[in-house]
Amino acid sequence: MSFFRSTAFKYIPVIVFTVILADYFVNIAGIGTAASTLRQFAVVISNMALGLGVISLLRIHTRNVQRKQEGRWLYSVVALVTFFVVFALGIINTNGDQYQWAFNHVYTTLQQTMYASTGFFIVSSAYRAFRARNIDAALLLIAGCFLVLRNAPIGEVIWSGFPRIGGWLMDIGQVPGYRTLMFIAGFGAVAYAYRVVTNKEQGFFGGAE
Amino acid sequence: MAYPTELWGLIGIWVGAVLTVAIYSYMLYKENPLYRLAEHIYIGIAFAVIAIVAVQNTNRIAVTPLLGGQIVFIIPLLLGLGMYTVFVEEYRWISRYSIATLVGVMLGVITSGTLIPNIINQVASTITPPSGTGMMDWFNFFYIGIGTICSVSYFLFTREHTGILAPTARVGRMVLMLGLGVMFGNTVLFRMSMLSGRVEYLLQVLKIIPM
Amino acid sequence: MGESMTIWERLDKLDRRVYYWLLVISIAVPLVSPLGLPITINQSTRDLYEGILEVEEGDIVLVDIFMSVSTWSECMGGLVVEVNTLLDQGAKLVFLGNSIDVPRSWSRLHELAPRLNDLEYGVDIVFLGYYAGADAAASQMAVDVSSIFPSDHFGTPLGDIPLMQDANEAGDYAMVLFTAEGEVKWIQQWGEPYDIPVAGMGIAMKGSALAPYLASGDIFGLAVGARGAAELESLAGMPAAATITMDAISTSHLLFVILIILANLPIIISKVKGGS
Repeated sequence: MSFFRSTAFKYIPVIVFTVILADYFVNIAGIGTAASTLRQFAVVISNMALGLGVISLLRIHTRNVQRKQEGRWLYSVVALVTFFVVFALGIINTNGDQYQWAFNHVYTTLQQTMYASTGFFIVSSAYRAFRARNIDAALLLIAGCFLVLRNAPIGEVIWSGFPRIGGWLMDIGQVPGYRTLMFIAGFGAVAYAYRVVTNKEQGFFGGAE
Repeated sequence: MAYPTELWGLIGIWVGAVLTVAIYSYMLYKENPLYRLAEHIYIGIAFAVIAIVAVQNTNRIAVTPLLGGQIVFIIPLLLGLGMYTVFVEEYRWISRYSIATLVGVMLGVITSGTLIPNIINQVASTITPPSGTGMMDWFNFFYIGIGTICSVSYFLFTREHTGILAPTARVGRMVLMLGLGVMFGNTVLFRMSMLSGRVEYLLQVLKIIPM
Repeated sequence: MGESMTIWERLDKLDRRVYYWLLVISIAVPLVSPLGLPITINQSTRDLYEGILEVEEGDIVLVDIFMSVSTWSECMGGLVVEVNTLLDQGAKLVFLGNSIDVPRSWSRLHELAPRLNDLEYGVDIVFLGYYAGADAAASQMAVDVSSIFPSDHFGTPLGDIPLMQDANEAGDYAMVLFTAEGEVKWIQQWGEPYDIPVAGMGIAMKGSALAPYLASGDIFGLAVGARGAAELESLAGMPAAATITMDAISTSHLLFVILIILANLPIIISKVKGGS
């Protein structure tokens, strides 16, 4: 039993990775079928894993309510009640008027609002944090400002150079830097795959030994 | 979308407007109970939507085929359920099988997918001379070529940046700063356009501008 | 008695809520009273539009609506133009999305592109719905779409949908158009292995990550953010939400640049004077 608890799972990434990679390079029916099946399995597992965050959330807020955490527990009640009500409505009938109303007017609005709130922080950072104290920072800020005025139509009105220089930065200027980052990501993926296949990388098992 | 006239539509857009103002009251005024309430409503409803999508999609792609005779889907369903043992210390080892399968597939797919577009095509594009004959085409070609080599040299951390590596790493760092500056400029556009969407919504609900 | 503060110190200590209100005002005013500033077209946006114009009648195009409702203001306008242009070309459309709120984006698309309602569902257009699994799903769909989507979003088995009989693998599609955030998997899993033309819109932040793919030819065109959406609207002669937003973008961006200049003026002045 301890073999299954501590060792057996370490061989799965190697086998699965080999099958998927072999399917990419060779055209053999058996390998193709196995790879196809494994990819479907991954999609199902990914889908079911969405619930992990939900369970974590429920645990945190339930704990707040149980312990009557001052300043928090009432809001946790709100979060839990909202969750269960909307979940029940959605499970009963996703196309129902009540669920659709909550989805269209509450979820959609709040989702957009939360993401958009970062716009405020970037403006206050513009004055408080973005200081060109050295050449590198100055380059970053100058390139950023050219892009900002290239993206905004008013930039063309102020000076015709903004869209031209900004366009060059967008199409050519940034390419070497991001191409390098792509090399790093690409080689990093290959290196990481090698480490996983040779059992040197086990962090994703949560400290398994 | 026209301004709603039916009762629940009207209630909906006004509830949305109140929630929007509640969230932004934190930035524009100070933290307050209305903000906390809206924040926790968002948490509850967002996770409810995630849970509903997870249940419905699992039913569609695994449970229904399983009940239709495709017995093999019992395996990913069990592996998916096994992920939840991560919350129980004693049985946490079961979740490692699910994670192992997921990691193996994702690594295989990403490694095979990354080789040509991320590495080979990028190298080819860097060393391929331009088809145009203009001075700007050749300037761009040399800029990208030299800039890429210098940026790569900046990331060589196994050697100290001295000798020939010193100026190339310096140039590479400056080229990277240009790229990061461009991303910074685009980030500003991203944030501002989302915020302008919200301001537009509020103005529409107040009938200051047409919906 | 304390020393009096310089103007730069006063600005430094200014309550950040002042900046926030300035931002709100700078966005709201042009929305109420539009400036109507012209928009020039970037070459990558033009390449995207002209690439879509090469789609022929009957071609099947896969459209990945990988945008959550929060990125509508960035990408929805451009998606509407792409869809209307594809309809003009007589293309058949298959939609799907990697975002959990893709059904909302689908219904919003119908509100903004009402011509979609005139199409015969299952013959000219299909909505497959949400999928999880990112790259693994895209890779599997390239060989068998029905293995990831046994049924469409509305529960109809794919075997019962006429369009999907001719659209079950990568080779059946003339083009993949991505939206917002999920482009890399289509480039890596469909574009390169199966030589399917890939292009689309990215959120503004993705513009940088996609520039090397554009430079290497892995994507044939790219519209970036709300600006790209406005450029598409201008190219197609369909000014709409994105074009209206650009005035607010102008004023808010100008405020941003002014603040950066103000923040750095003391540094510039001290460097000119030879100080540290």
